[in-house]
Amino acid sequence: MKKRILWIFSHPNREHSHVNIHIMQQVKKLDFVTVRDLYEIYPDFWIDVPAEQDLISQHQMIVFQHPFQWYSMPPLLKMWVDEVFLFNYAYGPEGKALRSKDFLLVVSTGGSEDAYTKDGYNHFKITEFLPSYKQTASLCGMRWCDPFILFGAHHKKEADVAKHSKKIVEFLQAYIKQ
Amino acid sequence: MDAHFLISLLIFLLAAVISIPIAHKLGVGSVLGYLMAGIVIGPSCLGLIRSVRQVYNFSEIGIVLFLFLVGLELRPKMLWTMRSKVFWGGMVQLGLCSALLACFFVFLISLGKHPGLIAISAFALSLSSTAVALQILEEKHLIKSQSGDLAFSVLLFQDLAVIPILSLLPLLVHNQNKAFDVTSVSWWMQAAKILGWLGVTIFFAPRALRIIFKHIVNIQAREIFTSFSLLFVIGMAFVAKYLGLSMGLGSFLAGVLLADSEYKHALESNIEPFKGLLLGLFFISIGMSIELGHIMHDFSTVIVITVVVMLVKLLVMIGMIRILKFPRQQTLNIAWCLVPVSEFAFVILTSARGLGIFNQEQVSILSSSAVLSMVFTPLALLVTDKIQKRANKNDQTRSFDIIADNNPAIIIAGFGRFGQIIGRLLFAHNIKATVLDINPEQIDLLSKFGFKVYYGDATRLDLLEAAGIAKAKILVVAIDDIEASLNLVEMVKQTFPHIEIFARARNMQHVYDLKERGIQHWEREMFEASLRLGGKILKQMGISAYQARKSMYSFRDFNLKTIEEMYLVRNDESKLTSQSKAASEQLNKMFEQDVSHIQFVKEGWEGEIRDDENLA
Repeated sequence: MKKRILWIFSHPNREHSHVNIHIMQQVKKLDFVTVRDLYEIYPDFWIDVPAEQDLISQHQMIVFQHPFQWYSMPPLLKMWVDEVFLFNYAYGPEGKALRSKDFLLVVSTGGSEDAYTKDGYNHFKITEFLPSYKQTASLCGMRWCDPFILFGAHHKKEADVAKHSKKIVEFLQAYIKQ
Repeated sequence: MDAHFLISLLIFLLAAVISIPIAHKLGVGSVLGYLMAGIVIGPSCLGLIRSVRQVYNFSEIGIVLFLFLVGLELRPKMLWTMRSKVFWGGMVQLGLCSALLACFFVFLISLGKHPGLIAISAFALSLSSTAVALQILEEKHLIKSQSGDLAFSVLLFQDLAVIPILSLLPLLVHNQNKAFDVTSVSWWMQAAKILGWLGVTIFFAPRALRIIFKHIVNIQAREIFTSFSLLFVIGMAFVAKYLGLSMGLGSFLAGVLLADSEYKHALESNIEPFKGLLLGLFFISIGMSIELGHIMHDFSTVIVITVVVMLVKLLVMIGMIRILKFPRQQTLNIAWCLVPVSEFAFVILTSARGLGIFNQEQVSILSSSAVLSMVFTPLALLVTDKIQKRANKNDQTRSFDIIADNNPAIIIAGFGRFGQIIGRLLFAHNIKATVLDINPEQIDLLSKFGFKVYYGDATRLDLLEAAGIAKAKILVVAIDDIEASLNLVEMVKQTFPHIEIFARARNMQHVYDLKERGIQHWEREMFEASLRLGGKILKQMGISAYQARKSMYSFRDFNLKTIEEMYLVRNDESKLTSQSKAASEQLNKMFEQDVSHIQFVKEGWEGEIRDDENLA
């Protein structure tokens, strides 16, 4: 069976997105990727849980793409996780829906890579903010893929963004072929 | 019109008008007031009325209407769910009391030995006055308790039991004159006619009535509705009488047939005024028939009968409550509330006298006992209350058993497009709402979809009262007509200040008018819809869904704020226009501010922290 990728895109301010919208648009072109633009389809925060769960069953990789805000995900994505990853669906004794699927995090940050060091103003490495994502994936039985992090998104030039997007697309294509 | 009759009527009405305020002042019920008035103006006292007969006939219609309303109130479905309680509870109470009283009457010489007479007396005096009972139950907050429920079931059973007894009375007379011959053809003809009538009526009437009412209501003349209702009720009563049954049975059946119809409330409010008046006249004539001369002569008999009746009924109820192991707290109160003899007793006794089963003296004695039971009970209650309070001084525990509330929490006035959405949302939550609407076609349509909508003009106080507004928590005013809605709101605020009103506003001026009348919960019927469509248009124009949503919310917020400001200057035309302009400018500024904020986000921040700030 051909592998498919479920791409959960959340951006609360897409009008002024520097990099995320471009990445998403590149990924959208791939025919094995289903993009769910949360703030576009659920602006009222009223999520169609059965529809989402149905989609999940048809895809082998779940991707969260979003700008890193306050060291975490945008509220609508959190809502999505809370409402979709239910007990005995995503986790728990009967919760097998996400077992053996793959999980990928694709985030952009405002701060530079330097900012995310012990001496930088964020005081921690980026990986130190990721355990909640990792554990979420783990509890649901998902495999954690190496995340794609784009630092200093505000200042990235078009060319850099394009390069980053290309890397992601290649990764996805390789994944499909496995 | 006979001048004599006119004068009699005048005196009757005068007596009614005077006696009721006095009765209320004294704290006794209206029925008692009428009875007293009757005694006073009747032949035994002031002797103002001589020809009781004519006015009595006229007021007999009051009984017919009374029984119609009893049938209307019956709620067959509710009755069905309570059937075992009603049947067993009522059977035991009525059976035991009647049996015991019958035994007692056998030994009472002045009542004679005729079994029919004894049975009827025992039965009539075992009945309890619903009005008085409910009054006591409400006062003591016992309606929702288990024992209150028992009392209610007994009363219901009694209501039902009266009808067959009333119907059988005429047959009793025939029985006296000729043998009760089951083999006679005329008996079978009679039975066949009765069954035929019952069959036809029960099968066809509800449907036919619905069609007729719809047509009548379309003509929009209220008098025709009332006239036709009376025609139907009295017609049924007449047919019943023609078939040898009692008129009461006919009108009762008419009531039951209409009990679940959407026109029920309208019928109630239309007939109620007639019923009240005519019933009053009826009880006055009963009072008049109580010949004080007879009472004085047999005073000891009357007192003995009264005491025995009261004791028997009290003890039987107490026994039932104890055996059923209901909470002991309110036993006495519940038992007392069923002691006063029912108004029906007068009806039965009078009918029986009219048929020749009783003579005047017997009726006077029994009626007086009934009246005295009504008078003594409140006094007795006061006494036992005091005794109980003293006994319970140390016992603080109250054990009530609460059962589900049958009264609607919400009344929806107007079930057009606006009211329906609200109604459906509430129904989906199993929240009970009584719905009123004035358009019969609408009601027709909605009943196809399974909605129970009552026909009526919701701006009428009597209709609202019939619909239960006194106990409701919320009134939804969803009617079309702006003026009517404002009148309704004013009226309800005045008469039922406790109730929360949620109003539909048709335009801005309507909003101001509602606010003026103290309405805090209102929604403009167009606003949200236009806003949503506007949001979709923004999306279509390329604005992101989330941004469109935020704009909608901002717009709404701002709009509501503006309404408050405009409300304060609503009567000042010049201020209104300048305010309006200012509002537009403000709205622009607001959206501009949003944009500049987003600009800031765009530029980003380098994470510079000033030296004097301390961060961990």
